[in-house]
Amino acid sequence: MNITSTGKSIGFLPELCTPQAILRVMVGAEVLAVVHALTSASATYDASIIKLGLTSLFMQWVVLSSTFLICILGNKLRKLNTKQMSGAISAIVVALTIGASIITIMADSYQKVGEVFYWDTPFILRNAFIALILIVMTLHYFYVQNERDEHVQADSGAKYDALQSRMRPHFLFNSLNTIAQLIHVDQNKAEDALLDLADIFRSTLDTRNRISLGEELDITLRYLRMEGLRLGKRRLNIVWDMDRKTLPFNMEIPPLLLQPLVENAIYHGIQPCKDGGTIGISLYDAGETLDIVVSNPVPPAGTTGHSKGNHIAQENLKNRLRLAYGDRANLKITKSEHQYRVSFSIPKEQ
Amino acid sequence: MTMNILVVDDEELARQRIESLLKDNSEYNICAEAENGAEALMMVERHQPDLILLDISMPVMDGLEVAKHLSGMPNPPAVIFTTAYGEYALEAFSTKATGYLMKPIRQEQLLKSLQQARSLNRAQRSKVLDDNEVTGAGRKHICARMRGNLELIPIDDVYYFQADQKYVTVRHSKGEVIIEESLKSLETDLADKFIRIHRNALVAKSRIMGLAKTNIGRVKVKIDRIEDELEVSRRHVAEIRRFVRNR
Repeated sequence: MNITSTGKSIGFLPELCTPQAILRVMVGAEVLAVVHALTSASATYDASIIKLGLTSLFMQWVVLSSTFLICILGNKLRKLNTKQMSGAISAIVVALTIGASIITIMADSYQKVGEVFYWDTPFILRNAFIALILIVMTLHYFYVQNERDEHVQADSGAKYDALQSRMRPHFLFNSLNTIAQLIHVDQNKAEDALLDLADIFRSTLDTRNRISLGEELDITLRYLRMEGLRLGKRRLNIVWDMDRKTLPFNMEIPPLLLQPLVENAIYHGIQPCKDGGTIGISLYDAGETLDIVVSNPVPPAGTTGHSKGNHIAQENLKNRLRLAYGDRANLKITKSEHQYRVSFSIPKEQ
Repeated sequence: MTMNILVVDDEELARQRIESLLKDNSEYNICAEAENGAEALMMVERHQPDLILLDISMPVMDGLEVAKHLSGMPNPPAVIFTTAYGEYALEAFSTKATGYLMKPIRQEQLLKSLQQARSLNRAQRSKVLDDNEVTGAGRKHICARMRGNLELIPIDDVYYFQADQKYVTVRHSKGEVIIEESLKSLETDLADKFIRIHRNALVAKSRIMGLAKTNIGRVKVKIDRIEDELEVSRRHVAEIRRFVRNR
């Protein structure tokens, strides 16, 4: 999920320590130097050129030395959190700017007066302040950029996984096998099942970012009906706890919140049990939030279980909820000896 | 001669489907059905079918493990796996004569596979089962036959195996049983959970409490929750010590 941890980049910063990146940094600094030269009036054409040269020299020195220092300290910086790292980088840049300013004062005074001065407080402060503003802006830009990249990647990844699980090939082919037999036994049921399967499949092609609660419930119901046919009433028992009169069916939610959870409950809680079990699904309108709970029995140890997939589905739900609602979704997963229970709340106000 | 078939699938409609596909064919007779692996093994004991149509993913014990236990039987039935999708372990069987069927099952394919299986003799069948490369992986039970009854012991319940001349005693949380499997094959199958402490004993790694020295200088393994102490042979002492120290 954390794309920045791959490669050699440091925290949320883009790749800095390659020749291409350094070239890019130098071009950026040069652009700033040109802007600075254009905005500050000089008496003559020659004077402006000289000014541009000196500004460039100053900027390149600051930028390059900062980049090198950041690259050298990369391993240490990586251990810091976002705030500490931003602080450290700002400090490096400001310190090097002050250093560059002092050298400038020395060179300048020697050239003009023939004596070496070390200090020109207004000049140093001005430069330090400009450097501070620029580095903070740059860091902020990188941070936002990185955040967005991560978001896009996490969202598409999570959604892809969830979509895939909605149509587990195992489920599809078993369902088709069931329908093939149902045609002989009960044609009406076979027709219903086929239509349900069509709807479930159609939902996997849906690309919307938000769907209504009613739609998600509908798909979940169809899915459960399909599984009910497969596993039989004896093995799959479902206890719904929701008030159809008050439930906000039009509320917009991210897709694939409820159905994959129910599918997981069946896959890990019902299928491995010899005599099946009961799945509890509860939706409760708690005023500011919609609270959802899905519970399933824990199969006894030593039976054939599906231990892998479980974690992926959980991570997936966690990521999608975090992306959509931050910390407000309040996802809780509790496992006791006999019951596995997942609960979360969806804030109604986005 | 009619062929007796056992149909094993945890889904009722899937079992019904096979039944209805074979309904009009007098060559094949469905003698029994089972809805999980453990039940399948009981049914094999009871009905001695010629062939099993075996689903892979089932509760309690999956089809691959059933096949493993069947291979240990003196007179195993032929096995045809039925599967929906994605059960990669089946690749191990794909070149073998018994083969597998993809769901939704087609009648002509079902009949073709049955025809092929018919031509195998008993010896060839057990060879096919024995050859499968997935033996051991995913094995979760010990299968013991007690006076014609089949007893399944989850591997997690086993404390140790001890060989005694011809048989192996399985000490588990609910008692003791005797099985005919060799210690050697148990060791290969269960290498990640059990450790050899003596030429005649395998102990569950998770049950080893510690080591003790007897007054004549022999090393013994103390086992969690039961009184039994098992002797560690000289050859294995160093290895066991290392195991106990490093975990």
